[in-house]
Amino acid sequence: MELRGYDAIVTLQSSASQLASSQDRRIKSAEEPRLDWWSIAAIAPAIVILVGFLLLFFYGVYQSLTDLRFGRPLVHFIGLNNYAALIKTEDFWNSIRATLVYSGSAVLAEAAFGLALAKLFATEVFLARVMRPVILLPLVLPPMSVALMWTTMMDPQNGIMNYLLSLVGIGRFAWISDPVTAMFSLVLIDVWTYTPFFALIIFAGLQGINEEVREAARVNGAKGLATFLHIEQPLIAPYILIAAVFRLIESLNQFDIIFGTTQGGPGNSTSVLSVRAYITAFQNLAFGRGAALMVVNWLIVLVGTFAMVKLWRFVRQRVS
Amino acid sequence: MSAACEKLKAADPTITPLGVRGVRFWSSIHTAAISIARSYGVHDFTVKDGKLDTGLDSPESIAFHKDYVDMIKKCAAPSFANDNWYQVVEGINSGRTAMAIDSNMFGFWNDVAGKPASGKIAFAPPLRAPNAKNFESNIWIWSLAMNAASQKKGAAWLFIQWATSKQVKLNGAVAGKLVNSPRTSTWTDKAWLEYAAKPEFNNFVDTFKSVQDRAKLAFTARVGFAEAMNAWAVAMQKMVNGADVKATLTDLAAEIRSTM
Repeated sequence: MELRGYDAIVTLQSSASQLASSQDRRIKSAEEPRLDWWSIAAIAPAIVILVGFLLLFFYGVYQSLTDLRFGRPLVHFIGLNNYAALIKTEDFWNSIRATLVYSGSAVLAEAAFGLALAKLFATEVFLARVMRPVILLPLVLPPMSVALMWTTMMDPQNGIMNYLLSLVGIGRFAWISDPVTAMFSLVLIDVWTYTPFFALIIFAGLQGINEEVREAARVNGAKGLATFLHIEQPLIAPYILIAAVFRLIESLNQFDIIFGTTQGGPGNSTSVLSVRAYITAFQNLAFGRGAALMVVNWLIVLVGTFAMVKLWRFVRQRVS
Repeated sequence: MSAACEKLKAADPTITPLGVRGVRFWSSIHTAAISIARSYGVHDFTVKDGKLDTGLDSPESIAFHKDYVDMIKKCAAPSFANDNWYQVVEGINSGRTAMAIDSNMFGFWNDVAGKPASGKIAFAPPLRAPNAKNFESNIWIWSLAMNAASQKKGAAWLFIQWATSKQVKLNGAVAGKLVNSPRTSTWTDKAWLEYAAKPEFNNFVDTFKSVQDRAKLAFTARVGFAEAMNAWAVAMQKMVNGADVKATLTDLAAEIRSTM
């Protein structure tokens, strides 16, 4: 018995010591830095691309800290002088205002119209089924073509828009030719082009709602509007917000539609930051100043996107 | 001009009396604006106490801009702020525009036989200030240049010589409709003069000869040309849209001085 017990103890001790040494080896091997060349090779292209993007971006930031301009043989590091000069001008603040008004109005209007369109698509109305693929056409048009098309249509004298208005007794509208109406006209073009994007995303959200949820609401006596407001709307809110994030980024950076129609005019009424940066860098050939404007634009996009993503997470948590 | 525009509008409300560029870039300045401005005695830059300074806030400039803005309001298309040279050309080509102040070649090209507006476009020197004795005209020439760092300067020089030779210039004018040849030999050549004097071109040759005597570069050649002239075009849009002329020109001059 004793021997058996002793044997047993020895066996246990031996197993324990074996276990301990195996654990030690694993910990030791984990502590030793080992290069996994295959893994590094696999992710190398992604790292190269990432570093490439970052280098270009930081080169742009560096340019904004220089007095780089055409005709100047030497480039000097001037710190934040470009930014200091910009914030002293009224035109700069006008550009900030134009950028925020343009993107804010466009995204809000597109969300509202996109929601209405998505609700229409979710019905089985014949016209809605026919229009579903057609409505996506503006999205696939090059923005510069859209701009040229609308410039012709919005001509105050010969454009089709004023002709259509005249049919219902509305007088001549200045559209993009007047500083008072130019921003509205640009937002209208943006809404026409990108509302289908919102409609598509929200429609996908509506399709994802379980029919049993709607059924339960109906059983509890909820009518159509109440079902939409209290059941569907909270469930599709994250979809609306994620579409808004993408559109906000794009509209804060919008260049093609604005440059293709008004070039930032009349006066400076539609001179958003991206257009001002382009004109400063490539028309006025003040590359350092232009780069500073783009960095400011980037900061606005960053802050706007960060806020929207925060909101999206908050709403998603509430829904789930 | 303003009175003529009002008469034209009264005769046909659908017609645009005057086609003129208005986009917010220097290209809007280098045709109508700078030519007429010079007849008012306006200089984009002047030398004061040995230093370069802008002359766009001078009394002459204020007088010019008041008249010019008034003319644009009464004569130009409502789409003035979006109109570039191609809108001006389209206007005179289609007959929707009665007159235009722009490059003479746009009229010539549309007078060519077979074009819809052939023979309907005549020519005149630029407008001038009410008290000016003569008109002024800006000259805008595309040139060939050789890079100082070129390693093939001989080949570049031979190319420039060929491209600007008498025969190529004449051929370009007659066959390529590259009017306004800078070579005297083209303007004394029988083939070109016979072609340019065809009835469809109306008074093109006579007007060219009278304008070329007074045509010169009206801008001050300097680094930063585009920045200053773009700012001028933006200021013009603001004034046409109702901004005070004197205050806008004061702001424009301050903006230009801050970049010098």
